[in-house]
Amino acid sequence: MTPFVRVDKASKRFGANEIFRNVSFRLEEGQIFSVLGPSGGGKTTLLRCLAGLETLSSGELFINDENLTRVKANVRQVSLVFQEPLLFPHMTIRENVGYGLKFLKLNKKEKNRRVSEFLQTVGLSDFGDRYPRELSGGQKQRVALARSLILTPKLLLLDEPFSSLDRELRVEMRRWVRLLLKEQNITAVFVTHDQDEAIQMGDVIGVFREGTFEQIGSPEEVYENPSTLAIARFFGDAWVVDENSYIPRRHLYLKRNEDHAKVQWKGDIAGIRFIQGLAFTEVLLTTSERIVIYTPEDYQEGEKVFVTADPSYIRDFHRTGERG
Amino acid sequence: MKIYVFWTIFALFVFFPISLLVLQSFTSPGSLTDVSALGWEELFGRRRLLEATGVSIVIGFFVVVCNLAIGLSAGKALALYDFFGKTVVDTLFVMPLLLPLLAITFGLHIAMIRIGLADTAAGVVFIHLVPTIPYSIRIFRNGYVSLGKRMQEQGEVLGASVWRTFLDIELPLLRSSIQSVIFLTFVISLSQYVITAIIGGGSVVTLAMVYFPFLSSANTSLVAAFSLWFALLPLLFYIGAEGLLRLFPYQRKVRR
Repeated sequence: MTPFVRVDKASKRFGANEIFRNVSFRLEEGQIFSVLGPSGGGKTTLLRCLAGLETLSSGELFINDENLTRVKANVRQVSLVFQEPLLFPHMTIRENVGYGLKFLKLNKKEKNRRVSEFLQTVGLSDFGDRYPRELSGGQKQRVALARSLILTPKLLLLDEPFSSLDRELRVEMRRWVRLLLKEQNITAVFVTHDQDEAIQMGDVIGVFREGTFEQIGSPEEVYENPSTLAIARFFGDAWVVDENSYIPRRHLYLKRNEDHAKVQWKGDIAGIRFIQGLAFTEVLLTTSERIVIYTPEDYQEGEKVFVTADPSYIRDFHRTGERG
Repeated sequence: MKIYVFWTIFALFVFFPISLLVLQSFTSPGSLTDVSALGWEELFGRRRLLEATGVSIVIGFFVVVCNLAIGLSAGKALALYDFFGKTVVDTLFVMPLLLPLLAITFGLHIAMIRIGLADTAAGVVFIHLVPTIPYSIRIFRNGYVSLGKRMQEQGEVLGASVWRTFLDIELPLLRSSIQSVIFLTFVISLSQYVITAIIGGGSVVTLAMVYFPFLSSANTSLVAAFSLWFALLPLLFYIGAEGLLRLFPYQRKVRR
């Protein structure tokens, strides 16, 4: 089966300035793709190119086997939800949600029905006649989402849509949006710099660094088998042994004695931390690195310990490159 | 406290002089108690008054239209796009305000004679653009800067063409800029005397051309009536323009 969305060797330059290069990925219909990377790494420009607001310097975009590379933004069936809600301040919530429908050949009744339906979907049925300034940040972002979803885009792009919301609301919105996208079977690209968000939202995660994907895979894959040192450091959950190898952190444990059959790092207990109701021990290694490890045993602060792992768990970084 | 200061100044410098003007226009010259409508009668008895008023409105209308078209496009380009020579273009756009208008008019007059625009209403519209366009570009430029590019991109992503984005998003959101430009350019165009006289060559008679010779007249009732008539025009034009603006999409709902 051919993939639903296909991006081939896309690159973008502004003059001599290269924003991203050799970006390729494939998505099945209904899949959510989290693009995770540090801020200012070209993720937004990638989305803008996919939406048609910028043109690709090279490479191609196919959706459903149709080449959309040169199609203008307003006829491309790709919708983009920006970082800010960008609701039209002079239109009511109903008019905002229904705006895109104006350009489709639908009768008025059908349009009204759809707007009502989507207002209900985003839980804002009672707000239809209000103006954007009367809504809270979370509500505005929901309207922005409804305004894009109502067009049933073939590809929905989300550019850190929750970054302007406070923490609690953000966590709630992630769950809600993911559910909604799954319900509507929308294929989506979700850009974020937050690791938790990427894992929570995506069926597939792409780690985007320095203008290209360093690794693409399922959340477990990327989490368990980072393909490069940089990804391991970025995710912060693999214990880096040296430049070429790492140990998944759950295989680490603490030992009071030296054991030559294992790999060990010497250190002192620096304190106890409680995370989600569990006691974790923080160890200050002699290399002055810090590591937090879950251990059921009691340790005293200042005690000498060895962070220990079985050598069989040591894995090598390997560049898997782009998938597909 | 502030509100008292405002009303005092308003009463002293706006309300009081205008009331005097109104009062004088309905009384005999030099008296404020002797009621008489002679000032108005004499004003409308002038053969060229209504004709000149019409000419002024038509010229003003085209000046406003040109200002909107040029101001919106140039202002948008300056605010939202980067292009080679932007600062140079930006400076050139304000130049007409830095040079004496008469100097420009003399130069343009020669050019207009050659291309046949001298002594025509079109030529007068053209010369009225010189003192108005720089302001319009400034106003729209600021409007577009505060509007930003994102709103239009959002419209585009939702399927709107460039033209639809302009109608549905830019026009309503730039409404206060548009109102300022309409009023400002119409008033400026209406008050031009010398440049109209030079380019119009006496064959294009606007209201200002009829009005100025009256200023030294001893008939203060007539001058008062004329001044009020003169001041009423931009107001009426503005109200008319407002009515037209309301025909555009999403306009009725703009609340500030």
